[in-house]
Amino acid sequence: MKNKIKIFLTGFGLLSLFSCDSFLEEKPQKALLIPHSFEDVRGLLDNYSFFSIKPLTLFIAADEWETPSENWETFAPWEQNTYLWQINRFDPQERSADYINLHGQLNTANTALKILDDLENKNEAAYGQLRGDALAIRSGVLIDLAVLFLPSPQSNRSEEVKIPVNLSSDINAPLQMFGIRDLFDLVKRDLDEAFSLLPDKDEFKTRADKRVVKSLLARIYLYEQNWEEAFEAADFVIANGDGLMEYSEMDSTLFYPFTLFNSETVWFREFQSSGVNAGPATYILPELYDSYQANDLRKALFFRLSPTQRPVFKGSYTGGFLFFSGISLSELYLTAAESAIRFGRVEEGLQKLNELGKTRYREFESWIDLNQEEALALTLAERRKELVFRGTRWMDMKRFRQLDSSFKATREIYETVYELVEENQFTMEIPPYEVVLGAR
Amino acid sequence: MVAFVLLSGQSFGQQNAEGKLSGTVKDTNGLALPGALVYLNGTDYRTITNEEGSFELSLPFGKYTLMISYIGMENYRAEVEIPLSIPLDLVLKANERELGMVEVVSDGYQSLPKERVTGSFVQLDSQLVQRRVSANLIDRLEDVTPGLIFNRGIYARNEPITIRGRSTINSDTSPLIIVDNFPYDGPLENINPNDVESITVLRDAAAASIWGARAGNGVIVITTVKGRVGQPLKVSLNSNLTVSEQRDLFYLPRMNNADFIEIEKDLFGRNFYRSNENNVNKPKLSPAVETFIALRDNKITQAEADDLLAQYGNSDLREQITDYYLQPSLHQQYALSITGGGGNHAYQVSLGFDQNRADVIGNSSNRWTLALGDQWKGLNNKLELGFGINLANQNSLTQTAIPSGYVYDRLADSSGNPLPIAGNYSTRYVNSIENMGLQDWNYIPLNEIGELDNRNQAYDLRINPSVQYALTSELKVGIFYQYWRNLNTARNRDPLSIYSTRDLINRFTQRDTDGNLLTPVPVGDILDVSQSDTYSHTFRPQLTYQKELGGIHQLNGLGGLEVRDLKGLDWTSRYYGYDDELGLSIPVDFATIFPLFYNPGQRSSIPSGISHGGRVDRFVSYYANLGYGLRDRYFLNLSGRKDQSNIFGVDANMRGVPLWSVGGAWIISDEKFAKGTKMPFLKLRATYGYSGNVNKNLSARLTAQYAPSFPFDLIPQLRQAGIINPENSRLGWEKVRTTNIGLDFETQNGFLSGSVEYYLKDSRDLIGQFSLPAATGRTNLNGNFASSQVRGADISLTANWINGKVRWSSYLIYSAVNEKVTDFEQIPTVANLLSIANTSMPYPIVGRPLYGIYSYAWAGLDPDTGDPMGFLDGEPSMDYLAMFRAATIDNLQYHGPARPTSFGALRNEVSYRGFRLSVNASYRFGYYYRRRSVNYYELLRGLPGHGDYHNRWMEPGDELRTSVPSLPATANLRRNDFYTHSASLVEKGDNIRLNDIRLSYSLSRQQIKNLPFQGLELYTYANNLGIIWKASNDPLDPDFQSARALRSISFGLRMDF
Repeated sequence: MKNKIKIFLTGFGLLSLFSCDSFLEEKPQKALLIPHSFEDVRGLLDNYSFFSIKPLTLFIAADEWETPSENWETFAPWEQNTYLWQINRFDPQERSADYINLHGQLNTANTALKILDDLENKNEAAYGQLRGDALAIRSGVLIDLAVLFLPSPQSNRSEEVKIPVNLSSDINAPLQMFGIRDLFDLVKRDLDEAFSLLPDKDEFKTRADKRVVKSLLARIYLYEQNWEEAFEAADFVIANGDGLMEYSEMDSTLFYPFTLFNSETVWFREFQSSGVNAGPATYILPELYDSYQANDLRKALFFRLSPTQRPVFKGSYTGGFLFFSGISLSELYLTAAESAIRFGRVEEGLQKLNELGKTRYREFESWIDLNQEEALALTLAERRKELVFRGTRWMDMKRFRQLDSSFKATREIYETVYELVEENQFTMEIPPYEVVLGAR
Repeated sequence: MVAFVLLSGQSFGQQNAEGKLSGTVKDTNGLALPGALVYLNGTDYRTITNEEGSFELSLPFGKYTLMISYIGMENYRAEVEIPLSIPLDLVLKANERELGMVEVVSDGYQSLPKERVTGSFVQLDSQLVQRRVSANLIDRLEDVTPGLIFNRGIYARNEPITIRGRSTINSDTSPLIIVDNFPYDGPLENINPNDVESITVLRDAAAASIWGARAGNGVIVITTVKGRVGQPLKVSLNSNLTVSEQRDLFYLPRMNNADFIEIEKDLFGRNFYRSNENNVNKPKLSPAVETFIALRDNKITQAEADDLLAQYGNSDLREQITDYYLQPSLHQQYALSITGGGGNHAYQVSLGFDQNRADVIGNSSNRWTLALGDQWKGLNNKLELGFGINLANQNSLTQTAIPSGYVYDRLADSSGNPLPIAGNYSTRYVNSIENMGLQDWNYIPLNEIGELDNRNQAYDLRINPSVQYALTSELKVGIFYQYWRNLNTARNRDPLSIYSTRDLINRFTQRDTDGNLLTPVPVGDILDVSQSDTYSHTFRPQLTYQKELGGIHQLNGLGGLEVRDLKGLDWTSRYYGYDDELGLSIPVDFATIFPLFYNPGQRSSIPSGISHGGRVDRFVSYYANLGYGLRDRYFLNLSGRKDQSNIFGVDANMRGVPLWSVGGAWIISDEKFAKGTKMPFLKLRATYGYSGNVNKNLSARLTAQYAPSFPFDLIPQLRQAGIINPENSRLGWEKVRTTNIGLDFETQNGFLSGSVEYYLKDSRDLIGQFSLPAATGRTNLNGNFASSQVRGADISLTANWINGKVRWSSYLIYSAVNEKVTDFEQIPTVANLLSIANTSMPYPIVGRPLYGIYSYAWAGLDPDTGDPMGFLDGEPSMDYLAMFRAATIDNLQYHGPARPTSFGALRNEVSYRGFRLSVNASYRFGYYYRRRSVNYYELLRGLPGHGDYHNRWMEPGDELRTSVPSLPATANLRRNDFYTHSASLVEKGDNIRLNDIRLSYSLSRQQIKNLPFQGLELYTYANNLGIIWKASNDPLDPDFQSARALRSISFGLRMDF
């Protein structure tokens, strides 16, 4: 009997020793993963539904549209404040989707970089391409943060205002404070590296390639008034681009005349809000609409008359009601033209402008024999008409304010006129609750 | 019954020969008495009975005096002579004070006499379980279980029941359910309440250390009916019918439709609908607004318009839904059970059938259950084999869906002909494309009654074999195993006669260059099929030990290992152009992104309806339990358990959590000094220990998830992954430390008995959400940041007022729960706190309960304008933005907890001859809720308003009779927010309600000798009878703010053969 007990007890002991480590390694849900491979990083960076969301503030604050007071009334309070360029845009404990999205995108890009760092076979082509893509995505986000929350690079407040940025994937890492100069130094370094890693062209317009990198650089240089470098960067993209579309061949009777991922799309981004940018009462400024000449093909391709006979925008490169806010090839033509003219190569600038113009006008007559001032005025007017509702205007407004302190804009709601004149109105305030949380 | 046995022995005249003394000990009801002390007077031979009440001793031939003692029973004494030819069947009589009620409590691992229990257990016997008539088992715990509350309203959504307060913030809140000794993962609807013998609710740390990490929220142990060895065949039949009231759509007060149309008219005049009227997505507008448009555009005359508006003003969608769609629901239940046993085996068979006619015409469901079980003993009772199979099959059929529409939509004209109402688009648009060759784009709800073909089928199977072998009379080894499988399939066919099917076809309809219509979604039915298949294996080898020493010491122990592996797979898919006659469907193009017919600017691919999922839950646990009893008076209990699970992304050494508890009990009344007092039973007991809780959704390592493909994906071929958990080293198990002290007592003749318990639950390392500055990359982080404490008491009292021909007993249960957050770094925002009554998400503040009701202080209505007033810097104010900005957690008004802090029930039972009347009233005190009122912001944006509208301030002086503000000129978000969250809408929730009444009449053969059956019970049961008293004047029930609790009545018959 005693023996029997021994046998049973031994058997029991053996059972409890049975190795359960691998048994307990099984992941609880199929869809879950701990990202650890090139493929996983590809999945993270291909999350375009997440990365393509641009801060809506860039559109709301742009002086290219207006809405009636009754429609303004339907906006969320922060949207109303942003529309009127108020300094205090948020309630004391309000969080901002724009601010959260940008930092979330930054975190995912940082995470992708960290996973790549930890991988062993860094010689594979996939490694470089993924790292380049992550760096480009991160740079794009940092530029948006700078354009919204920091003064322009040439401003005398440029060293004064700093914003917290986390460059690590670790959410517990201490936040670094960046001013515009430091931030742009970092971005330019990253973009230079990305340029060396990325392919000339990627089959998907949601991914970065060399052209995307140069386009981002062109934006920075233009913002920094670094005309020659801006021109060179823009010219690279023009030379390697997929070509401008002949607007005369487009069908302006279509509800949305442009298609998604068309040849002028360099990098895909969009504004995702149905309230403001897809609202039926989002009207282009009348004076801006009136500035399109009769033979300007864009007038019919970009706008349709609403049932109330006011022009509304239909020319988005998303091919739908959401406004495109990525990088389009025409932006690079305009950047090249402006930069060239500003550093004195007026003819070269006009040449870029004419290349664009002949795809945009019916019976186009080239612009020639203009002096620098006339050529610049023409280029800026073309820039405003071409890039309308494409999310580039806010940066331009900051640039123009820096170049000419008399630059201003006005909006009217319920018979009160609101002005954008003060320098500090051009630098958006970080939501106060974020500051409270950061101070703990 | 005979209390002695004639014992005859055979003599072989052999010296030193050993013989066997074996038998079973039962009470007068035939229930086995495990743990009874069996000894032979004047010798050292002694043992205790096992779970089935059997014992066995080997002893030399000779004459002995057999003694059996068992708490609550009279001592048994008989002369025996060894050898014996047959096992003894011994019956113990209850001693006076217990009135024949010997309770054996099962914690799912072992059954113990109640006297030896040190932990906090509540047991509901079969009579209490069967008292209520319901298809659902868990309902039967309501208002009869101290410490357990059924949450109401918003709080019930994620946490239907709470045992002794919520001891977690974000983790699982559901108690662990044990069915026949194994954790049950399936839906409880699959368990037939008629098969249940008893339910035990384990409330303290003793439970958790037995059942482990999933037991932190309490454990509900369900034991089903089993046959007993030696029990004669018993056939029992139960049948009942329940009728429930029709749904009451008029419960929530709403402003009348004519007034609402006036508001719409005013908004129309202010061009409020202009943007939607011109919206490219052609959104629908209400019939009144369409009438205003038609009038403005001179499509109809003023007289026609007035006529239409008058019709709308008099029409009410709720009335028509009640007429055309609703019916009282009917529930029929049949249950047959057969139990019995022979010399060495016992069996049970039960069959159940429930048929349910839903409260919507055309919808129904049914359930079949089958349970088979057999227990067999052999090899001189050393080997025990058990086998059980439980099978449940649930079917539901949905043929009708209740339409949603505008409040005054008309479903039929005056002669009853079905009318179209606006579906997804404006009637103007639908009419404008009428003859284009599309599928009919009109939505005619009445034509769809009975047209849906949505069927759900679920099978649930449990197979439980077990083997136990007694190595010695003290040590037993057992192996228990359970296979569980749950298969759920749904087949939802939406035929072409359903609007949503035609709508999808039309949306995707394309026009080619010649103007011909192409239908990428083919014309035909849409068939959705889905399946989820889950199964688990649980394997549990276990050793049990029972030893009795010198009649003084009793030792019992058990220890074992439990391995559990649960896997689930699920998928859904969809077929288009389906023809149900022929079983054919048509393949479609899921890849192309089509412009949509009603707005070519909207693009979408055809919804594929495809999804795949899978999960794996694994547990490995070790457990041990040791009980020691001294002189049947002092008891000590130790238990411990370690659980390990496959929590994702946790290092191996973090996977497990060790849990333990220690308990003691002292039967004071058995002490010499207590003899002769008026208190024949008094017991003090206490436990202390740790339990835990898991949050399987979190991970300490970086985890990501691939998003399922979506019809609006721009590049369908790219796989997109998103981060769901950042790397987070600050994550571990939640720990709950529970102390429980209880006193059980009974006065002479059982006049008053009951128990009083006090407990303290300290939860540490609770997973809470901590807000981070967004610049870190995340807006919040989950970590073990919080601590909370629940203090409370549970009291249950039974009084037997009259105990003669007429019997009258009262049962009172009372529970007090005081939940408090003791530590949490995170400070919630004002908006968080104000939202508590509308969300089930807790926002902890140190020193306050997890759920509290907060509001803006109320300064009444402005006598001149009827605007609501609050306070700004101590002065009445109407500057809502300033008040909003000035609000802090400290200057908000705190009313009190949002969930009851004391609750319980009083049940009275009176019986006379075969009649028995049982009435249960329950009460909930000490909590607050936020009442709904008119939302002017929504009203002025075209949504129908609350009935308080008619009670609003209209002229100076009204502020004395009402607190409903005046109608503002424009939709003012801040003003509305202020009123909605003001103290004027906070009410005390305290109430007492009459829950149910059960009246029964029973007959048994003991009363009438020549009955054709053993017993018969006729019963009727009425439920949700209504509020007796409530603290607030709110016409609505505090616990049922969105829909009325429906009354029901049941009639039933139970027969035993």
